[in-house]
Amino acid sequence: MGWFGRNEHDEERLSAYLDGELDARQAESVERHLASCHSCTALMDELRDVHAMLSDLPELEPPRSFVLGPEYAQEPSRPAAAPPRRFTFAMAPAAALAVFVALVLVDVGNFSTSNDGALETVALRAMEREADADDLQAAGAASMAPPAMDAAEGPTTAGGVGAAPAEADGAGEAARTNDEEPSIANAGTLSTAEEPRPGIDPVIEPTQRESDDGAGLSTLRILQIVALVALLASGFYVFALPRFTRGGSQP
Amino acid sequence: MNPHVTSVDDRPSRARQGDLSAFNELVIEHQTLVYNLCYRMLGQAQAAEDSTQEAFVAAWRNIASLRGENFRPWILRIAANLCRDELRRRVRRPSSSLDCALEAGVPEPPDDDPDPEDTALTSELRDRLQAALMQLPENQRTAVVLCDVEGLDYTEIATLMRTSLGTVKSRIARGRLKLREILRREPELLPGRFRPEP
Repeated sequence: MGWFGRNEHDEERLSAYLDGELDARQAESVERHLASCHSCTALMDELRDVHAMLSDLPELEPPRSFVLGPEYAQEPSRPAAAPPRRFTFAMAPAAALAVFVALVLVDVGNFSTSNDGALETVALRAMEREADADDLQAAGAASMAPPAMDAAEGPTTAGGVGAAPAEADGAGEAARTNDEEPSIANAGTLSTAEEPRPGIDPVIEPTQRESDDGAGLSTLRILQIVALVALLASGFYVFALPRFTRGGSQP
Repeated sequence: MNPHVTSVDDRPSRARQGDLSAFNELVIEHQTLVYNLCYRMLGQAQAAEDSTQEAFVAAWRNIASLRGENFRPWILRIAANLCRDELRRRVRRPSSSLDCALEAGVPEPPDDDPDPEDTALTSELRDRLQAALMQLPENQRTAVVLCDVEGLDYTEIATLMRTSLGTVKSRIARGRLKLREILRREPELLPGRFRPEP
């Protein structure tokens, strides 16, 4: 094999040869080439020089001992807490999916019934969700939660009304343990506050009824979109993002 | 120590079960290695000390994630990641001229243990070499320090840096050549055998 000039492959190959990282066949090929190529021989010398200088750097003595004191003896209980946290966090996409499905079913139920009573119930629930979501947005804005988690909390709070409470609590707890912000912890309690607020209901209800009849962008539709975004965002955070985070605490 | 102890080191598994003294034995065994990695990566004695401390604390708190792996690559990965994070923090902060001076060329810590046999490198050259290291991109610096200073092989480095062998090979080669290029700018610093031919 003849090399007619330097390219990246040559340099890498010589560097790997220097470190003994080539197999026998490749090493032999390099040696044969070096016997006749001045350019690569010079490059080899340069690589050897740098390697020698670096390995000649003295090993520094640590300035002190880094042994952990007895106050750290209590802490191994925390790693036990870590897996449940990951488990709870992984529930967020499942919870968001459940909420999204619930909202779609409500929508389906909405169209399949022409009963005013059903419409009114849906409007009432949608309006409560909106009120809760507004409160949660205000709480979320005050915290330092990433935007995706804010979106996740809207439907999970709303989910406390329509979907199974256990899932909403799980997702709420996921938000809580993930963020550890007291304002986000309120999301769990907000979801259980289902009573309509006297000041708000009379104003919103007529508008909600009209928008639910038509094909416009109703509150329900908005919540479905938010739930879908939350589903995608939480799925990304749980499944895709860990690949980009540092590996220090992962095997 | 029990003279009949097998070659299998049970300290990592004992540490995982919450045995702090087993963990601390591993700390003592690896702290020089970790400190040197941090120093060569960060170029400052205080930062190296802080990152070393942080690495061992983080390791203890995440000891559950040390499974079949050996302790050495695991702790080095934690330390290298912390150094990388620290370097990125430095980039984001507006750097004062003092920061630049500190990063460009820092004398080694005063309590450096002089090796009487180390006649090849003058103190000035050591400083220049460290300053040259600081000019490498962080990935190349990590790979070169792990290979040439700490003596890890390519497979260990690839596992540690979570990348391929080819990438490791490339980073080491490019890092070395860049160092050579930087040092060539002041050839009078280099000992005779290192000086470029005319």
